[in-house]
Amino acid sequence: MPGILTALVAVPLIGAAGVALLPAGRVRAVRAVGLVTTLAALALAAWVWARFAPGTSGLEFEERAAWVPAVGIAYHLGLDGLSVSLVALTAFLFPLALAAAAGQVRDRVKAFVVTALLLEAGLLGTFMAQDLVLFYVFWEAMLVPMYFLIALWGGAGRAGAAIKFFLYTMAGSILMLVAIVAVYLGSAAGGGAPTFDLPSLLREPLGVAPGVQAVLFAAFAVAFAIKMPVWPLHTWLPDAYAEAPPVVTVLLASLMAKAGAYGLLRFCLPLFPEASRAFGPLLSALAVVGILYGGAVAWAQGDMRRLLAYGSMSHMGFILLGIFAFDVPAVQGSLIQMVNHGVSTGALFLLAGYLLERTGRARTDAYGGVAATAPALAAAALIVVLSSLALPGTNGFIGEFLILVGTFQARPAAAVPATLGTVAAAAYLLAFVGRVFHGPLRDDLRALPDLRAREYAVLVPLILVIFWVGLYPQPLLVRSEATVTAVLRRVAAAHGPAPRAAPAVGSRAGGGERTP
Amino acid sequence: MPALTHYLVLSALLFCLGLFAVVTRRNGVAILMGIELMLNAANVNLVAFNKFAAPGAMQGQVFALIVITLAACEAAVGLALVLAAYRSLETVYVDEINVMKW
Amino acid sequence: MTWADLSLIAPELALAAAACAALLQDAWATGPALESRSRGPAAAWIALGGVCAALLLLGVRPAGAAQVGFAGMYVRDGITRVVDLAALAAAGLGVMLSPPYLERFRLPAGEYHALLLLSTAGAMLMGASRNLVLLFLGLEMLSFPLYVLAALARRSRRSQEAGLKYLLLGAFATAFFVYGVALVYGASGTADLSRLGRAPDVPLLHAGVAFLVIGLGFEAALVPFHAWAPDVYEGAPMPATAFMSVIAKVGAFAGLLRLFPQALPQLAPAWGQMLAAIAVATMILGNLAALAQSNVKRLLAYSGVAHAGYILIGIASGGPAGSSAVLYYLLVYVAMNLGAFGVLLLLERRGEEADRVEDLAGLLGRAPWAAVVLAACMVSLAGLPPTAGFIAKLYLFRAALQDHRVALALVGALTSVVSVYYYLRVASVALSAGAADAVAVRHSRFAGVGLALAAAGVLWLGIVPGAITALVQQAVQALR
Repeated sequence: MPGILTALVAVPLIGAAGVALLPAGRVRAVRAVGLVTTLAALALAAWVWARFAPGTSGLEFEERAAWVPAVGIAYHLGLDGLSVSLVALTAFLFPLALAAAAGQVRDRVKAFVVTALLLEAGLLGTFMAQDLVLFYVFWEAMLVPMYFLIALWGGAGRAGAAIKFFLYTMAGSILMLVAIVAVYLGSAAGGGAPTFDLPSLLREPLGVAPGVQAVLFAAFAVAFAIKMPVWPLHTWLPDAYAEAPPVVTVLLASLMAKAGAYGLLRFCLPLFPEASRAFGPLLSALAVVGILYGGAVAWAQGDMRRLLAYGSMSHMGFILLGIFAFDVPAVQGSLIQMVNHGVSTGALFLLAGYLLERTGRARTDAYGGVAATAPALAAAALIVVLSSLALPGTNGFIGEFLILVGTFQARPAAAVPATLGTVAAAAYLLAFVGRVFHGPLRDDLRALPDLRAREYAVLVPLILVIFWVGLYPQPLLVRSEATVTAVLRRVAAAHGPAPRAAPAVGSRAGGGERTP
Repeated sequence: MPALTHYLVLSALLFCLGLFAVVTRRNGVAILMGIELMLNAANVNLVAFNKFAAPGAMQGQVFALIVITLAACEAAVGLALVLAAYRSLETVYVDEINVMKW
Repeated sequence: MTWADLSLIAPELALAAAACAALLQDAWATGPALESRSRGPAAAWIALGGVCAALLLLGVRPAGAAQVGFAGMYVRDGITRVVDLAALAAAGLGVMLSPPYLERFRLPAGEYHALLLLSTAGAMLMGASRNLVLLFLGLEMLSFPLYVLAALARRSRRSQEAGLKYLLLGAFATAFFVYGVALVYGASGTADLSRLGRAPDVPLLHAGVAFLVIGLGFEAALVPFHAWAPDVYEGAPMPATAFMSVIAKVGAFAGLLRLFPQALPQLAPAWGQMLAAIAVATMILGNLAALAQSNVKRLLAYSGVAHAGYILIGIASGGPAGSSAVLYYLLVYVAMNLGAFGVLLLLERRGEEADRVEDLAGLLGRAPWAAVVLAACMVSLAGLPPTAGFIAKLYLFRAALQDHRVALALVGALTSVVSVYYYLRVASVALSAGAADAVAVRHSRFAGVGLALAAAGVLWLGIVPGAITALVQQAVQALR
C-alpha cells in the first residue's frame, strides 16, 4: 500500500507525464498543469510537515517494500528531523520557481516543465530515501534533469557550464557508488546477508577496518562536498550559477546545495562516526576557508550572479562548519540555515533574475538608482539581503547565531575567523544593493518597471517565511532536535581505537531518545 | 615413426606460415589462403592429439572434419565478398581499400 | 540425434525455418529478375514470426534442471535461457527497427532478414555450448552472416570495404580460435567444457586458452582486438551495424561465460588478472577514443568497445555475482544500444544516412518521442539512474568488489564519468532547439513499436529490476 511519501514522489512524476501528453503549442495549459502539480506536492508536503511528530529520533511515515530482494535493495522511504523541513522547503520552492519561470522561459516550455517536475521528484526522493541504492538513484536522477535545464535553456556558455557541472558531480558521486557497494559488502562481515538499507546498516558497526572506513568516508564526503560546494571543489559553481537560466539557478543554489549538506548529515556522520571525528577538524578548516574565500571573491565580482554565487558558497561554509562542530545547537543551526539559505539565496537569485529579465544586463555596474524607479523591487531586495546578513528578526540570524554559538564551544579556533565571514557578507551584499539600487538613476533605466502582480506572488511568500523563521523558529527546532541528538550521540559514542567494541548507542531506528 | 612433437612442430610451422602470409600479403585472396593455412595447422594438431593424447575417442578427428567444412564455407563467403568488393572498389589489394580511416 | 535432441534446439530450428522462408519469399517475389525486388514488409513479418515462435518455444519449456543433448555437446540451462532471451530480443528489435531504412536504401529485405535470423541462431548456439566444437560452430554461424550483412549495400563502397575488412580480420581471429581449441584438446584430452575443470594445469592449456581469448575477444571487440570495430560499424549499412553491435557481444560473452567462470574456474587466479588487465585497457581506450568522434556510428562503435570492457569486469570477477552481472548487462545492452540505433535509423540526410552528431539537432521539435527515447538510451549507456544501465553497472561493481578487484571497479567508475561527456553531448544535441533542415525524419509504425519496446526495456530493467535479477541469479546458481 503506497503511502504519503510515495505520493509525494509520484505527484511530480504524474504531473510530468500529464504535461508530456499535452500538445506542445498549448503553453498556458502546460504551465497551469505544472503549477497545479507542484502546488499539489506542496499541499502533501505541508500536511506531512504538520503531522510530523517532534520528539522522536526515528523515522516517521516509513514505507518499505521489496525492490530487488535478490540483491538486498529495498524501496524504503522515511522522514526524520533531518529531512522533514528540507522536503517542505523543496515543495515550497518549486511552485514559486515555476511561476517565476513563466516570465523567463518562453522556448520549449513543455520540455522545460517536464524536466523541472522530474527534478522535483528526484529532489524529494533524495531527501526521503533510506536505502543507499534508492538514495543514489534519486541523487543521480536529479542530476540528469539539472544538466538538461542548464544545457538547453542556459546562457551563451551553457554547454560548457553544464558539462562541467555534470562531470564534477558525477565524478564525486560515482566514487560514492563504489563506496556504497563496499559498505554493502562490509555489512555482511558479521555473516548476515548484505544490505543497502540504512537503518539496518546503522544497527551494527560496519565490518571494515578503520583505514578502509576513512577511505569510504572520504568517497561519500567528496561527493557531497562537490554538491555543496566546499572549497576547493567549488570551481564548477560560478559557471553553472551564472549560465543557468535564473530560475534554475534558484533551484541549484536553494535545493541542490542542500542535498550535499543533507547527505553529510544523513550518511557520513552516522555511517562513519570514527572517520567523521577524525576528519572533523579538516572539514571545519575547509569550511572556514570557504567562508572567507567565498566572501572575498564575491566582493570582487562584477557579474551579479557570480557575486551571489560566491556569496552562496560562503554561506554554505557556515552550514558545513555547524555540521562538523558535533554540537547539538550548531547542527540544529545548520539545519535551520539550510532552510534559510534556500529561502534567502533563492530570493536573491530570483531578484537577480527579475533584473536580468528586465534589462538583460548581468553586471552590477550597468545598474544604478533602480530604487527610484522600482521601489518595491528595491525594498524586497533590501529585506532579503538583510536576512542573508543575519539581521536579528530575520531567519538568517537564528541559523548563524546557533552555528556560531555551538562552534565557539566545540571549535573556538574555527569560530573566530568564521565570524569575519559575516562581516564580509555585509560588505559584498550591501555593496551589491548600493551599486544596483542606489546612487544616481541611470538614464537608460528610467523605464524599468516595478514588480508585477505575478512577481509579488512569488516574493511575498518568501519574505513571509524569512520573518516567520526569524521570529518564531520553534517549529523547525523541535522537529530536528531529537534526530540531531541521536546522530551526535552516535558520533560521540564511537571514539577510541577499537570501533567494533563500541556499542551503537542511539541507533536511530530503535528510538535512541529513550536509551539513557 | 613420427612422435607427437613432430606433428606439433609441423603444425606450429604451418600456423606461422599462415600468419606470415596474412600479415604480409596485400591481396585479399592471398590473405584468405593464409587463413586457410592456419586452419589446417589446427587440423593437423587435432588429428595428432587425437592419436597421441586421447586415443580411442574420435572427437579430434570429427572436429577436424567440422573445421574443414567450415573452412570451405568461409572460403565461399570470403571469395564472394572479395568478388563483390572488386566490383565496386575495383581492387583486391587491401592497402588500396581505404575509403574510411583504417 | 533423437527427437529429444531436436526438441531441445526447437528455438534455433524455428529461426532457421523462418530464415529459409524469408529467402524463399524473396525469391518468389523477385522472380527472374537479377536484383531482389522484395522490399515490402513480408520478409519482416516472416522474421518476426520466427522470433516470436522461438520466444514461445523458449517460454513453454519449464525452467527446471539443465537438459543436455547431442551427446553432451548442447546444454539448455539457465544461462542458455538468458542468452537466448538476449539474442531473440536483439533479433526482434533488429527486425522491427529496420524496415524504413531497408525500403529507402533499397536493400534486399529477404537476405537481410534471413542473415539476421541465422546469426541470432549462432549466438544462441554459443550460449548453449557444452563443447568447444559447438562453441566454434556457433561462433562461425554468428559471424558469417554478419560479414555478409556488413557488405549488404552492394553499391556502397564503404559497405563493401566494411564487409571485406570484417571478413578478413574475423576469419583471422577464427583461425586463432580453432588453433586454441586444438591446443586445449591436446592439453586436456577432451573438448567437453564440463570436463575441462579437471584438466591438468600445463602450459599447453594456458596457450590454448590464450588463443581462445583472442578469438572471442575479437568478436566482442576487446582491446587490442577491436581495430575492426570502428570501420566496420561506420561502413556497414546502419541496420546491420545496429544488429551486429549487440549480437556479436551476446555471442562472444556467452562464449566467455561458458569458458571462464563455468568451465575453467581453476584458472581464475592466473586468468582473472589477465582478463582484468584487458578490461581496464578496453574501458580506457574505448571511452577515450569515443570522446573524439563526430560520427554517431563511430561513436557508438567505440562506446561498444568500452561496454565490452565493462562486461568483461564480470567475467574477470567470475563466480555467481560476476556471471549474473554479465547476463544482466547483456540484456540491458541489447535494449539500450538498439534503442539508440533505432532513432538514428529513422533519419535521413539527403539520401544518405544521417550519422553525424549535428544531424540530430532539433530532433525534439520534429519527432519528440524519438528524441526522448534517444536521450533515455544515452542516459542508460552512460550508466545513470533511473535507467537500466545504472543497475547493470551496479551489479558489475558489486561483483568486482566482492572479488576484491577494487582497481577494476574504480577504473569502471571513472571511465563512466568520461563516457558521460560524449553520451550527454549526443542527448543534448537531440533535445536542443536548432533545426538541421537537410535531415528528414521518417515515421514508421513498425519502427515506432520497436523503439517503444526498447525504451520500455531500458526503463523496466532500470526501475523494476527485481524479476530479471532473480532470473539471472537463478541462471548462475549452478556455478556456486
